[in-house]
Order: sequence, then structure tokens, then C-alpha cells
Amino acid sequence: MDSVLDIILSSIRMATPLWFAAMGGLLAERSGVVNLALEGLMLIGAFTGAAVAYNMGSPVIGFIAAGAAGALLAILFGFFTLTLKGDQVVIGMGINLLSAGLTPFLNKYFFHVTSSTPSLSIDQRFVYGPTLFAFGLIVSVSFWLRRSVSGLWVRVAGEHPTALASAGIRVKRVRWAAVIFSGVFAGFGGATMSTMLASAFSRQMTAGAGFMAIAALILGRWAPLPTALGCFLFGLTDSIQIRLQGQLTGADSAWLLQLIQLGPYIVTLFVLAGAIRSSSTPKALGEN
Amino acid sequence: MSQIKLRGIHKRYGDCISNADVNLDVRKGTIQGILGENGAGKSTAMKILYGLIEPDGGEIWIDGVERKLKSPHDAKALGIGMLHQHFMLSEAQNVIENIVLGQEPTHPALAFLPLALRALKLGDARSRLDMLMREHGLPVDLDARISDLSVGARQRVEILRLLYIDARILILDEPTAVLTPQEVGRFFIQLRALADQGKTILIVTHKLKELMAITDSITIFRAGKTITTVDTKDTDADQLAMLMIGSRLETVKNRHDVTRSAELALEIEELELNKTAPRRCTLNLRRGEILGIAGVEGNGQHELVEALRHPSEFLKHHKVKVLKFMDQDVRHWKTAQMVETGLGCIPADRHEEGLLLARNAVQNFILGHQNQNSFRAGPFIRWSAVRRATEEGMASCAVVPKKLDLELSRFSGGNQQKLIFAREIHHRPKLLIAFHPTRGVDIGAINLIHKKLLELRAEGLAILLISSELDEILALSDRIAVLENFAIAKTFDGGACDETALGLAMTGAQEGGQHGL
Ligand SMILES: Nc1ncnc2c1ncn2[C@@H]1O[C@H](COP(=O)(O)OP(=O)(O)OP(=O)(O)O)[C@@H](O)[C@H]1O
Ligand SMILES: [Mg+2]
Repeated sequence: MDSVLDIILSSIRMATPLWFAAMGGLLAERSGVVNLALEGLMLIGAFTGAAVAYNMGSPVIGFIAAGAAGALLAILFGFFTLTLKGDQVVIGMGINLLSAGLTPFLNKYFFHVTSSTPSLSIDQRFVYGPTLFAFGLIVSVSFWLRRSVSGLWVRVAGEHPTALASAGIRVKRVRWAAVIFSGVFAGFGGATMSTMLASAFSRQMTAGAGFMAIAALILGRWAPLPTALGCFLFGLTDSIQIRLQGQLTGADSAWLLQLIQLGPYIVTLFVLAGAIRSSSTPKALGEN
Repeated sequence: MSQIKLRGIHKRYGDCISNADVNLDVRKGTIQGILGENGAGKSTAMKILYGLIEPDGGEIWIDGVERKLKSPHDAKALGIGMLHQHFMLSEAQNVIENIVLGQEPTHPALAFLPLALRALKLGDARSRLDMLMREHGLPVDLDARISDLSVGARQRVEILRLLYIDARILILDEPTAVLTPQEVGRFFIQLRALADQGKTILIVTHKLKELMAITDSITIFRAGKTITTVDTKDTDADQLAMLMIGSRLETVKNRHDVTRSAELALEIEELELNKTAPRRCTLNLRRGEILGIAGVEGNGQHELVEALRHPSEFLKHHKVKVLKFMDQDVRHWKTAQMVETGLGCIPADRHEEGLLLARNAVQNFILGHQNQNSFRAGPFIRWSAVRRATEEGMASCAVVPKKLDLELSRFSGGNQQKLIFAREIHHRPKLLIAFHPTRGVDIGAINLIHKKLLELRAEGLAILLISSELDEILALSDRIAVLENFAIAKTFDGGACDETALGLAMTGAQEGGQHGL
């Protein structure tokens, strides 16, 4: 029988990639940019993380590279949304599609298969490093948002960009910085999946985690700590789901298994449906 | 030599010319007034000088050097600060965060980091602001969220911010629109002191009295052009009016010659406006009567309006004994029902509660009145009827430009206000709440609005007039009630009251008096 502690620890592991992605999403959205590209940013991070860790033999370098890859893709996102002022939702989805196509292509190019990267050995993987890092990140983001100069700028950029501009601060720069960091963090999230939770990148491995991060963000009313708690809730559902799966083995329970796998998505749906009160949504979210 | 020099500034939007030819010379250490009708291009010119709008052409000289101002960032670097006609405050943040924005105090220990990465040290700003607040009599709660503040308090925040930042050149676009006379007085003393310290101040206002009191010279705008600049000491209010609108200004006054009906439009007994206040508010209003509510903002004005606009909402958290509108108990009524029964309302903050800035004039004209029969055909809106109504409304209240499809954000502040007024009287309401009805409106249009209010009153409309302008209250009201600490402290007969008596009653210096109405 699993102890409660076991479940909690495994939930924390499952929540780790979401924490990174959600903090990235928080940055972008608090600055007024809807970032639906989180999913794609995570995916490119997952691929880059595993590929580089494999080639360089170090998960840390893989992790850093994943952040850089996320940043690059975020720059593309920023170019279309901030420079060309395109619709953020549409472009975000476009980036997701691009990433879904790009990752198997790169995989084929480097490893001659499209399905997954070669599997990582134990010393090419993380045990719990990213989780500790994520804790630190959540606390720092929370502190930074409330107490730092740029944190204030980001908050006002998402609420009343004209007021920020009128105070002599260039809104576009603030948003650019927020979008790029959002790519970095989402990239970290992806790398966590492929180098800590799993031992390779596999096709579509993020499986909606980017959207769960957005759901957690909404559930947490765009505040760091509640958002992190939301991610934990999803991690919890996920780990319970996995445990139940392990206990069901008979052939006639196949449908039940599938139902259980749906768990996290159903929770996401209910949370979104129940939690939408728009009061603390950044007011200028999605405006150009 | 002039510190600020504008030459041939022009700016057009499509076929709408905002600034045709603006020339301005302002000497260092002086206060220059800017006067002109609504839509004359004053705000546009000021925003150009602050880098918020890029002009199509013309020159900007500051300190003898020609400058290109691409954004407020450039203007700020030159020491220019601006107070906007429509507040630039971020609602979700608190007062102090809004004030320090753009000039954030940080920990000295972190000075090696780039500014963006440093930690805020609001303590420093707090002590300076406490001092400024005390010195200038501008009390605000620094930790309150902007969304919880009344318009008057927001205006004080804007002024505080201007005093807080280190600007050499101050641009003030209608800074006193919702301040009480006392606050204006103190603010002006401050402005003069700043000018004496060598700061250069530009002030846009529609209030002739203020211009005469504070400025050294006054520039007149007409139809996007600066037509002349006069020395304040060589002019008077009449001449200014002549220059501005090309005719003399008549004064509109309530002659107290209409016999009020005995029918009550509004009956309020023991309405709790604030849970902690010792007394409750009791008042009534007859048809064909204008009741002026005087008082310092924050004494219950907003709550009173909320209670009347959304009774069922408001009364969830507040108690009342009687609340009747047109002889019906409305304690459980929703907003729509109030409007359909004949409640009109000019809200205090037109941007917050009155308009959709991204929508055009027609869509704004139907706002809140979408259920009016004349606008509907079954489940459908009759846009042709709405268009016709909008056209009529704009014509009767002199809203310019007369473009039905122009987005509201593109109308000048005064014209936005006139459109709200036109909308709210269009359906012949039974009771009109007029909260700062002439905020930001030019003197010609104030007269027009006042005249219309008096006409409507003669036709039986009951008007609840809430205003920080004592002149306005004195000129129009049949009765005047002073709101203090969430209750009516004193009432006057409109004909038998003057500014001094009212001012005294408002500051609570006078004891006794009748309570309630
Ligand atoms: N973005 C815009 N698009 C189209 N027209 C505009 C725009 N901004 C301003 N205008 C027009 O330019 C004219 C001048 O506007 P401005 O706001 O400068 O007037 P103002 O003198 O400040 O008036 P008020 O006293 O009412 O504040 C108005 O007719 C207005 O409709
Ligand atoms: Mg203006």
C-alpha cells in the first residue's frame, strides 16, 4: 500500500514541469500577452533538453539548452505578436503546431528516427534537481513580482499599458522581456519532462501540459503561489491516476483505465469552468 | 527666452484636424493657461509636447534646442511631467505603486544592478509622500487600491504624483475638474510656489476663475489653432469668453419661479451608506425639483448613487427603511428596472462607468437603454432608430465632430461628456442623477447643459445634482443638502444660500442646523 507521503512526493515530481511552464505563462500574461504557445515552447524544450543531455552527457547543459531553445521560439512568438501586432491566441496556436512538426523533424535529422531520442543513462538524467530549482523559481517570481522595479512594470503593463508608457517606460520592452523569459521557463519545463520524469524525448510528450499550466494560472488568479498550488493539484491527479492504472490489470478493465487516464483533463475542465471569475485577470491581456 | 516653444504644430486624424497650427511660447518660471472650446485641440497639443502623440509636422523647442519627442520616455528625460485629463492610473495597483511608477525608489545597496532588477524601497517614497500630503492638504491612503478610490481621490493621487516626480516642466490637463474649491485653493498656492522655484507650468482648464487666479498669461485655442496669448493682468473673464467663443457669456440661473409639484419622485428614509457611520441618510426629492448635494467627496456621494442605480445589489449589504422611486418600493429592484421606470444617470467617471471607448457613438448611445421600446423590434435592435436618436442627441447637445461612427476614444473629453448627457436625457427620465455633470465641459457647453437641466425641471424632471462645483450647485438648485459623514448634515433653500454659508457647512465648521429633510 502506498503511503500518503509517496503520493505527495510523486505529485511534486509530476507538478515540476507545470511549475516551470506556469511561471513562464504568468510572466507573459501579467505583462499583458496571452501565451498559448506554452505547449509548443515546452515541447521544443523537451526535445532540446534530452538531445543535448544525450550528446553532451550532462543533464545540466541539456537543461540550459532547453531554456535557450524556448527563448528562441519565444522570440519568434514575440516577433509576430509584439512587433507585427498579430493576434496572440492565433499565433500562440501556430507556434504549438510549428513545434509539434519541428520536433520530429529535428529528431529525424539528428537521430534518424522520428519517434524519440535515444534513451538517457542514469548519469545523463536528473533525480530531483529541477524540482528544487522550481521551488526556488516560484518563491523568486512571487517576491520579484511584488517587490522589484521590473515586477511593478510588468504588472502595470498588463493592467494599464498607457499609464506605464506615460510614466516614461517603454511597454514593448517590458513585454519583450516577459515573453522571452516565459520561453526560457517553459523550455525548462519541457526539459524536466524529458530528463527527469522520463529518460528520453518522445513525440508529443508534453500532451497538453502547457494548457494545464494555463489552467493552473487561471485557477491561481495569476498569482504565483496559488498558481503553483493549482499545478500541484494537477500533479496530484496525475500521480493518483498512474497508481490506479498500476492496480488495474485485467483485460475487462481497459475502459476504466482509459477513464482514469482522462482524470487530469477532467479536473482541468472542471477547474476552468468553476474558477472563471474575471476580476483579477490582467485588464489589458491580449491587447496590442 | 522661452523655455518651451512650439511652432506650426499640426496633427490630423483622417479628415479630422486636431491641431492645425499651434504656436506656443512659455517662459521659464511662469504659469501659462490654455483655454479653448471642447475639441479645440488642447489635449492633443499637450500630448504632443509630452511625446504621447507624434505630430504630422512642426517644431518643438525646449531650452533653445529643437527636439523630437518620440515617446514620453524622451519627454521625461527632458524633465517634462504631465497630469492627464483622463486619469492614467492602474486600477489593480495601489496608490503608492502608481505614484512611484517611472521614478522608483530602490535599495542603495543594489545600485550596481540595472534599475529593472532592483528591489523597490517604498519606505523612502512613503515618508516623502506623507510630507507632501500634509503640506498640501491632499490626503489619500497610500495603500488603497486605485479601484477603491473615488474620482476626487484619484485626482489627488494624480496631483501627488506630479509633485512627487522631479519635473521642470509641468503639463496639467484639467487638474481641478473634480476638486473642491478648498482643494483647488491649496493646490494653486502650491503651483505658484513651484513656479517661483523656477518650474514652468502649463495648465488647461475650462474654469475662467481659476485662470484669472493662477496664470501669468493665457493662450486661446480655437479650432486647432492658437489664436492669441494675453497677459492675465490685462484681461478679465468676459474678454476671455469673447476670445474663446466669440460672444459674451450669459449666466444661467435658477429663478425659483417654477412651482414644484407635491409628487415625490424619490423618497429615502434611513439609508445606510456606510456601516461604520453613526447616522443614516434621509432625503426626498419632488418632481420638478433640483436637489443639489454639496459636500466633500468621500462623504457618501458614491454610495448614494450606487444605492439608487443598483438598489438590490447595494441593499444586500446595507440597510434601509424606505426606498421609493415614483411611489414604488424599489428595494428589490435591479438596475434595468430602475432605468425602465425612468432613472437617468450621468456617472462621476465617464470612462469607468459611462462609456465604451472602443465603440462608436451610436453603440454608446444605446448603452443601458437597449430595452427602450423605440429602439427595439421584438428581439432585434432597430439600429436605424438608434442612429436617428444619436444624431438628434448629438445635435441638441452640440457634440462635435458630428460623426456617428467615430470611436468614443477619439472624441475630446468634453464631447464625451456631452454625449453621455444627451443619452441620459434622451428618453425623458423621471429622475436624473447628475454626478459632476459638467466635468471637463467648456463654458459655452456648461451653459447649454445648465439651461437644459432647468428646462427639464420645468417639465417635471427631478434632478439629483452632485457636484464639486459650488457655483453650479448654487446656480441651479431649488434646495441644497450638505452630505457629511454619510448623512445629510444640513439643508438650505436654494434661493437663500451663498457660497460662504455653504462652504462653512461643508467643512463642518457650523454647529447645529436641521437634520435630515
Ligand atoms: N485619435 C483620434 N482620432 C480622431 N480624432 C481625434 C483623435 N484624437 C482627437 N481627435 C479629435 O481632435 C479634436 C481635438 O481633440 P482634443 O482632445 O485635443 O480636444 P480638447 O481641446 O482637449 O477638448 P476638451 O476640452 O473636450 O478636452 C477633437 O475634435 C477630437 O475629436
Ligand atoms: Mg482635452
